[in-house]
Amino acid sequence: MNAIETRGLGKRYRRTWAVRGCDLTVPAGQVTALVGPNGAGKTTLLRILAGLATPTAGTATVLGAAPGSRQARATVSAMDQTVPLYRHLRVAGQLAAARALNDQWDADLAIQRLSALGMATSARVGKLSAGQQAQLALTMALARRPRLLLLDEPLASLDPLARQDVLGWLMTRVAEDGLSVVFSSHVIAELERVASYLVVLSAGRIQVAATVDSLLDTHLALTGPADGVDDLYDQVEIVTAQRAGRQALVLARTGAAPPGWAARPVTMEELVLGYLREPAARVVPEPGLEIAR
Amino acid sequence: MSVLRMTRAAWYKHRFSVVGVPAVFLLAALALFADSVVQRHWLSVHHLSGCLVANATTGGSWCHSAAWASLSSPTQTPNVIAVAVLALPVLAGLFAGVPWVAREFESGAFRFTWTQGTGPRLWLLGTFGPLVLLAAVSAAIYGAAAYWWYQVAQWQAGTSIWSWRWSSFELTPLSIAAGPC
Repeated sequence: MNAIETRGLGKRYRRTWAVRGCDLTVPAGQVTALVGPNGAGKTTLLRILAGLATPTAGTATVLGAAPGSRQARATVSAMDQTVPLYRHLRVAGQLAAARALNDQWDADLAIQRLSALGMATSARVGKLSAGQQAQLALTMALARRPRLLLLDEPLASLDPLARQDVLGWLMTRVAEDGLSVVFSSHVIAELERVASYLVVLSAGRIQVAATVDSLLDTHLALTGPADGVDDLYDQVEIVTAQRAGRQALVLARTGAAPPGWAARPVTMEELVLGYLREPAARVVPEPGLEIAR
Repeated sequence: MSVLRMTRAAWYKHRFSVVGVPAVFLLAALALFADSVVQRHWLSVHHLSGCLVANATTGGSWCHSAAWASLSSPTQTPNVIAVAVLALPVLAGLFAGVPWVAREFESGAFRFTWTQGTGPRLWLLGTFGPLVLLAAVSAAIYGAAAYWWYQVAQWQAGTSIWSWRWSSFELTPLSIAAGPC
């Protein structure tokens, strides 16, 4: 079963399409990084999948169920980027409210996690720092024992140490519970360590959707003479080319370096930035894996 | 996910309002009741109980002049309480109804509930149902006491502000509902 499936999904706010013509398939069991520039439609897409927004066009399913349906609510947990919490409550009250709202609730997991974070249950939620509030929201999202976790910018308000800690804890839960995770973030370098599937969203459209391994295996960073870039277009599929004086750095979809060019493996950050610089370049969902320019 | 569980969640979120609002109205009702007992006792002592009818002019000039006389009685609290009778439901709306609604929308907190095991429809019912129930219970308690007290106040004040027919039965839930708006 796929964790996420969308067909022709679109969401329009007045005259502006936030997401449009979105065809996406994310297999279950993956940790998916959803990246894109500001205003690309990441939050809108996640809100539709979480059942917080209704699509204007197309269809979407999460673990085979319609977003927001009873079946989906029982298996999908989401954390909005606004970190919605009842700030007038104490942590214990917030946990009690969450427990009352869910059929499945792992109180031990929540308490253990908050204890590990040194967060007192008597503390008022509104008095917690932004990072602590995010940690609390994430803890509650996982205490529901979901099969799919949708996280919108969960790392944004965390310091580097906390980011590592959260990602580590998240990966532990993924390994132990077989959880599928989709999370949006601008911290691409951090995502590289944990993401197994990459979705790049640009101007409301899916630009890249494939496993990280397949993307890294099929792309190379090429360095060579700037005046040779035009000829290179005939030899390999170029995603983007940057010229700096006599040298050029090219992100290409190729398995081997052409003559006269030095090749090295790309990082996920280079890959993402390369595609974001060239919105027309696309890697359509597997198994197609082809670039359209 | 039942309405009962949603209501339990609403209890965790708004328990001070759930307890506080009826308590305030109950205390106010007791105050009105006590004042009314004193007023009625004074009327009984002066053989004016028969004047307590809906129309202040019924009973003729005797009751009318007695009404003015009662205003100078040692317990002439109705005029002071009259303001409180009107203000309390509005204040309850402002200090209980407004936070109740605001807490749900502050920083998009309703999205927390919507992403738990409950949907928007149940959230609406489970969150605002208790608020409506709270307003209705408060209206019943406070309205009953206010209506009893109102009979004396209306007669004493003749056809002034008390000539309008809205009682606290309608005023209380209306004010609690209008407060958040």
